[in-house]
Amino acid sequence: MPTQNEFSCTCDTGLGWAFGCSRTGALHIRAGRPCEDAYALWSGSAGAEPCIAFAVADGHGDPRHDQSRTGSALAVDAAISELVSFFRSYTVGDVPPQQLRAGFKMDLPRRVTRRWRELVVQDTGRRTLPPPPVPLAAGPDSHYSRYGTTLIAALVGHGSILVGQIGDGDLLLVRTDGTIEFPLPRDPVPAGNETHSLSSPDAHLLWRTATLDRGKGGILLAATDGISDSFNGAESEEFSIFVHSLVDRIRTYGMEAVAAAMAGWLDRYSAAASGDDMTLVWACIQPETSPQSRPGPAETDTPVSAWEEW
Amino acid sequence: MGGMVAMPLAVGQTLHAELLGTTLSVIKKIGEGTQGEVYLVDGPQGFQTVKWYKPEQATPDQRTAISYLVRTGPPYGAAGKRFIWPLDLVTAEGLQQFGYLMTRIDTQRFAELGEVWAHLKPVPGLGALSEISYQLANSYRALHLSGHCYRDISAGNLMFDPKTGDVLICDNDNVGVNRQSRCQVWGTMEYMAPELIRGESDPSTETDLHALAVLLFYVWVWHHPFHGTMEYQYHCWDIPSKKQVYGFSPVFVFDPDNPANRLPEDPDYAVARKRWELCPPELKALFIRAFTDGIRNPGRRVTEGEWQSLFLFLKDRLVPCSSCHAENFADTTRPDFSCWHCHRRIASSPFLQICRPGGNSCLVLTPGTTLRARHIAPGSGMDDGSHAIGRVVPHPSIPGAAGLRNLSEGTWQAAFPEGTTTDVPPGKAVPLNPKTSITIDGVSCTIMPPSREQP
Repeated sequence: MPTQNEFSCTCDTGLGWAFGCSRTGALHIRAGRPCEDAYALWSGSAGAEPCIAFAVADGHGDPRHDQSRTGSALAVDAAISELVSFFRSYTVGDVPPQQLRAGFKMDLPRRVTRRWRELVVQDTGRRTLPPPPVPLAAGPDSHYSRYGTTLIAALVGHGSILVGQIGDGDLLLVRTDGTIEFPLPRDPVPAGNETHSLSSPDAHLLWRTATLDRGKGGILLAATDGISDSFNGAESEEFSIFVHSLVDRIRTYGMEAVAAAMAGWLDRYSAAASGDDMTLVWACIQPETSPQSRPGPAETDTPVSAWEEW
Repeated sequence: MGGMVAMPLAVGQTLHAELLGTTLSVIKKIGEGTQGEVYLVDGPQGFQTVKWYKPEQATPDQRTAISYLVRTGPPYGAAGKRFIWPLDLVTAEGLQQFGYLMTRIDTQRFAELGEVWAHLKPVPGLGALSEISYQLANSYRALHLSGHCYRDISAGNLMFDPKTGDVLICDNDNVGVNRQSRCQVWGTMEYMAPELIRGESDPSTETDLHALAVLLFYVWVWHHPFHGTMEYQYHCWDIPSKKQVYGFSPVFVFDPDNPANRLPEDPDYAVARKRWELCPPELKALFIRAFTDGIRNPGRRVTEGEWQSLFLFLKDRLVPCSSCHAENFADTTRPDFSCWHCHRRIASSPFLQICRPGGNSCLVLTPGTTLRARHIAPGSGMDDGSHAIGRVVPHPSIPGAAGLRNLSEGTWQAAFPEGTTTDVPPGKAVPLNPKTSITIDGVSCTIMPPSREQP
């Protein structure tokens, strides 16, 4: 996991690059609470195919979920491990693309949820947890709720972008013409400020998934709800202006400069608005190329700043 | 064309519907899939949609297949209307790609199964589930009767109205002539019949029957019939492990004789376990046959007609719980039973025993119960027999009393237990007194007291 003062970045020259940044919210700092968000980035080769995977999680954070800081970290680990494993299994042999699409929808929610539960069980066996601050609900699986978290997971491959989400947070795709798309429906809020959780008994059914064509590429942005809450919601005009201004700043100043400045911006938004933890992962996806024109080894060291689309 | 990158259609771009000879204007992209993108278009018929193939999918074979489907049209009758069938081949000037025109789906009304699971759309009650299942079986029966097979039956191609149970079947460009057509789609592995996965057969109506059973299991149990201990123990769920579980050693998770693939004790399986327990015994019996005998012997698979009869039977036994209003299936052999939802007792209701030449059937009579034409005579062709010919209505002045009102155009004859008879013209009602016989179109029906069903 990256420490608080860092941003992280990963890149595959054939696909694009991604960076992430996570900040403790102003209200959390005031209350002496840690950041309960987590993110993870990964790039490499799954089977013979390059891919970029990332995940963002937001631990629920109230006394019923007192281990949610760990829960969110375990969630992003589980997501990356299962995304890459899933993608690898479909790059071996001549598997038709519709099987990848169907398999993602059918299998990934179940596999990630199960992997997260395994990691939670391992964690409870490894550490001596303090007594729960509030009584746990009855039931053999109630210990999972102490680790409750949301999760957004995405993988960029040669032809497809796979995205899945459980609970709140924002996932959006900025197309090359500037239009903003929300590939997943909004989280149906069960009641009040509640959200769906990886710790729900039926968590594997609560996911929303989509498979997108990489096509002309674009920017895929995943963020915990602390960010959009600072802008009056993800579908507000203010949030759209924020996203477009980030695109402009990256184009003008370069990815490194924007990534380095991101921590300060997020701190300011949190202090001025939502007060919540803030985590953002930003993936710049290159346009899809035809198999004939995919870069060979000699062409793969093109600097990302030379990429004209963004 | 292989290897070309798909170029999306532009907003405002003009398309041509080849046979209709009309011009369509692209409004916006509304979806994308493995084979292509879906656009909202405007034309002389108003808003419709176009599926536009990717270059590598826009093959001469696919063009021939679409032209064939446009020419033959959807299956005959009410069932055919549920298929979002290709209406015309669509082309664009200067482009080798093509697509097909289809009607627009009301996505506010119709839901995908995943949307229900994720709480984005309401959960269908038992009545709607029975209707969805009936319409599915009825639609695929009509398709198979027309000599076609679907080849990609899956939840991804099903949409339904969670309230009424009305069904739409999408992506019909996969439809082909049974055992003849070449196709680019071999189905989704989770739904593929074992012999198809093992490479021992081609897609056919028989492999469709397996996929239909898997789909119905998903609709009722929200789970895959082979996802038990075996799948749970695979740390890497890759294609070889899927082939093993779905193709080479498939074992039903509720196989009464083979415990090898039971549901593990894990929270993942709580929903499946609970929903299986809610399935009525007749439905469980067909699922067990479909996923035990049916996976070993394709000839023993449950046919669409059997599914259809079962869901009609179940629809006729729906009773609302008087306490929580949850729908329940009445057990007409017992004086009372408990509501699956609130666990309060539900008193048994009177029922109409219908004696047809093909065998007796029963319709539980509760306020609002509708007697349909199919109860008296099987539907055929364009008429699926779903129109109402009678309804249970409250007595206008006696609280608690009810009668069966004649909504048909013909006159019924009623014979009362004390021996008197009377005509029941359209608009009039027969009191729900036990042992009253009603003759409708020559078919004898008897109102039976609760828990006195005769097979």
